[in-house]
Amino acid sequence: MITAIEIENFKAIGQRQRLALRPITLLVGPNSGGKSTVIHALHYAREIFERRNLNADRTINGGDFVDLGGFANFVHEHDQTKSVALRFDLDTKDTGLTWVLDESVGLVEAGIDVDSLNATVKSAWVEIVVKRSILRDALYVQRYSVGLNGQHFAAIETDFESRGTRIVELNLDHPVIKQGTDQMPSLLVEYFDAFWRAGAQKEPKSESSGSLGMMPLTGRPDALPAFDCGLGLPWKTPEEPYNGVVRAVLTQLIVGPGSLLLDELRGFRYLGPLRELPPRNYEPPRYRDETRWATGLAAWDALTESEELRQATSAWLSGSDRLNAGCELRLNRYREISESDELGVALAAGHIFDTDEEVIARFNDLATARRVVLVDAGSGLELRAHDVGVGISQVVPVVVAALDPAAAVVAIEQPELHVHPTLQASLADLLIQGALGLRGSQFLVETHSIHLILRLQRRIRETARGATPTGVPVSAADVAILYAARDHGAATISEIGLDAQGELLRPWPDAFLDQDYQERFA
Amino acid sequence: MLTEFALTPDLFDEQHHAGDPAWREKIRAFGRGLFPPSNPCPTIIADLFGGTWSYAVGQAIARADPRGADPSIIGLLQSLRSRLQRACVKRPARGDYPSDEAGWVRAACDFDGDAPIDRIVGTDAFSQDRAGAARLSTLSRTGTDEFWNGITGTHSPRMDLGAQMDLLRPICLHATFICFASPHVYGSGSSDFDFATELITRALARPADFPRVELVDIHTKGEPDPVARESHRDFVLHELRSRVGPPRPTVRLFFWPKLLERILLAGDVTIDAAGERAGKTRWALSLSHVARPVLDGPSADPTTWALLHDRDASRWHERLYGQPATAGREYPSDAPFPGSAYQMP
Repeated sequence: MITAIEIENFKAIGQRQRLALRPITLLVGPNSGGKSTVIHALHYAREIFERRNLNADRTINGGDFVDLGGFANFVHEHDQTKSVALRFDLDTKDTGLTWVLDESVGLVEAGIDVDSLNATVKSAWVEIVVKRSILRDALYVQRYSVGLNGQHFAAIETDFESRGTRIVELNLDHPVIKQGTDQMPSLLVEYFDAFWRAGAQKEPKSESSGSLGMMPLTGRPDALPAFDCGLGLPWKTPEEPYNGVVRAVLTQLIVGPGSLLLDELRGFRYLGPLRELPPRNYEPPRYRDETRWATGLAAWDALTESEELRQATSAWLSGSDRLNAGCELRLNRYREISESDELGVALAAGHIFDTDEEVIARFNDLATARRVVLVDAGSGLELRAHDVGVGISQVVPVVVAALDPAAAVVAIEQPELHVHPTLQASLADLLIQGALGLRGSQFLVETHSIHLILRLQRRIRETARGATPTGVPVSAADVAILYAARDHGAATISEIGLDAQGELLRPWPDAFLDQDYQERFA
Repeated sequence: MLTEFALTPDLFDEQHHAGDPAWREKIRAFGRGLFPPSNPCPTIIADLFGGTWSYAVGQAIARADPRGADPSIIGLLQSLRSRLQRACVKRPARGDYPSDEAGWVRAACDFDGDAPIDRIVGTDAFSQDRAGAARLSTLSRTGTDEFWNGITGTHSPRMDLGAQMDLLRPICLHATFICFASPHVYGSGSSDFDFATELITRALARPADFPRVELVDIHTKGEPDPVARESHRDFVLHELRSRVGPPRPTVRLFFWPKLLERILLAGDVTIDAAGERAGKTRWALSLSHVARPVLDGPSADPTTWALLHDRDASRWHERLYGQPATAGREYPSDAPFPGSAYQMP
């Protein structure tokens, strides 16, 4: 899980800001305050980590709603001399690091318990700095750095003009290496020492990098490592086993956190602020198209494909203790028969199929179309998305995004769009279910809904008192409210903390909570 | 600065204003006075009798007839009630449960001896013959400018410690969390240290049936040199220990690389998401200067204090307690030095 993001010089954010992310994170604040910047930072990070797209405009899953416009546009104040920095903190308590390489064999032979090494890492952070080289008129990742268990571990930097990439910082005193596992400590340090001595003969230690010197890297255009292969270390020790071990461990501890982040970003799903309705003759595409999530159309695709998801969504739409929207979902299957076709003619003539094998075969050969329909709970009428209230059609993709097990991080803009206040409050229960129920997704929700916020606060209060009306407990540690507003032209985003009872730890910074009072008494 | 009000629940009861066609507008004007829409809110509301006042007000509003002559009053009252609740401080129960307006006035006057409430407001029908009438202002009287004199978010206190503390009386009486941020907290002889010590002492002197002050944070500027900082820390904590006798609240001392302004935050102690004791900010004041030691001689010039808007209070809380972006910087100015907070006792 991503537990925090730091953003610097990206879009509305100038000075570096650190934002805590929790299972449910709400982004609130006035329009143009910088809320979307946080979600866009995730889009940009995915572009970088997944396909090295440093000059991103359209993104993998931003659809028509996200166009970053390239570095010249998204760097803060359009000042291309500035560097964009993004840092992601990851909770790896449950997962540890996963192996980047299949070179663990060498480690086993060297007596290092590979699983222990991975499990030692309970948290990690990855930071990248993207810079524009004026000389070569190109963008590059100037720095890639990682931390493990809250301590800095290593940094790779690139001097783009001289085309040199090096490990410039390496914390050999890091506890993961020193005391990481029962078997490893002295062994690894010994390996690193030997490796370092071999390298130091070729390159003198650098004053600027402290006592560790600088280890050159090969095979990459800049500081961003590849996430599917080992670090290119040109130095060799006379003793061959050391090379493999050092390369594997360095790759694991330096590239591993980035690889883990990439996995998280690949599970990033984005639901944009305006949801499209599927056309009346809608047919889901044969292939999964992630960009369709931005408009919500992918939700209808998923509903068509997954019986489990359809049932879960239907239960949320119709449940009296849930959204109570007065409708449920059903999948209908259709075959299209032309009136002039023999089959159509036969049907019109009143032929009974079970006596005519040729007609039956002809019918069975027709392609089947599937269509998800909404069934009105009162009348039992089948309705298309166009036939129900706009609010219902807008909320269906939100429910699907919240319940679909395929996403790790779900960003939703304005889930409350066109939705009645009572239903807006119930959306909070939906998020709780999605984040803290069996699903375990992480939600980043941009909202202006006081009802949604108040319901979350209420559920925290109820949980603190030992009651869980939704069946899923939620504590203040599960929810972050991030308030974004402009201050002297730049966005400032800060957390409005909640106490154990769900009450705010500081005053709300604007009249959001007082709007009713202001209107009646001003 | 902050002014504490006690209001009788009958003020919000339609039945007590049936013959007054102007009641709705009086309530609207009164609400505007209590909580000026565009200015910092200088008002504290006494939730009398251990918090049962809030319940009584809710009951009074619920009695309003939606089919009555003026249905719009219900929305107005509900809106005012939610605003009042945000400004409430609980006062302990003393004496019998108030069963009528006179009882609520008595419940408010019961504090006159040791923790007086600044203003008591009741209905126009409150008889002048009843006990407490002299302390009570009627709703109609709140429509006069005279009533609101002195109730403002900005003050110019004299450079006198006692006078300045009197202005902070509601905070000394009600806040269980106090946070004083100043670049100049050095130890005995420094005006900011004396000010902080006096604030703690006054807060500890509140009546025994009020909640105790639990957490006091002092934020000040520290030297980059850790040895100098430790010496500063030892001196301040030693001085504090000698000046503030037990039972002491938890006092935490934070050193910052950069701190320019003098700010007072106050509110309640609560348990945060991590299960730790934390301060919840309700009120914030900007203090241009605080009283100087007598050695300097009395200063005739007043200083300026201002109650801060919610947005600024919120910003200061975030500045002092928010998550700093520390990566890549040895001494980030947006975070206290590593090792803070130092704690007393």
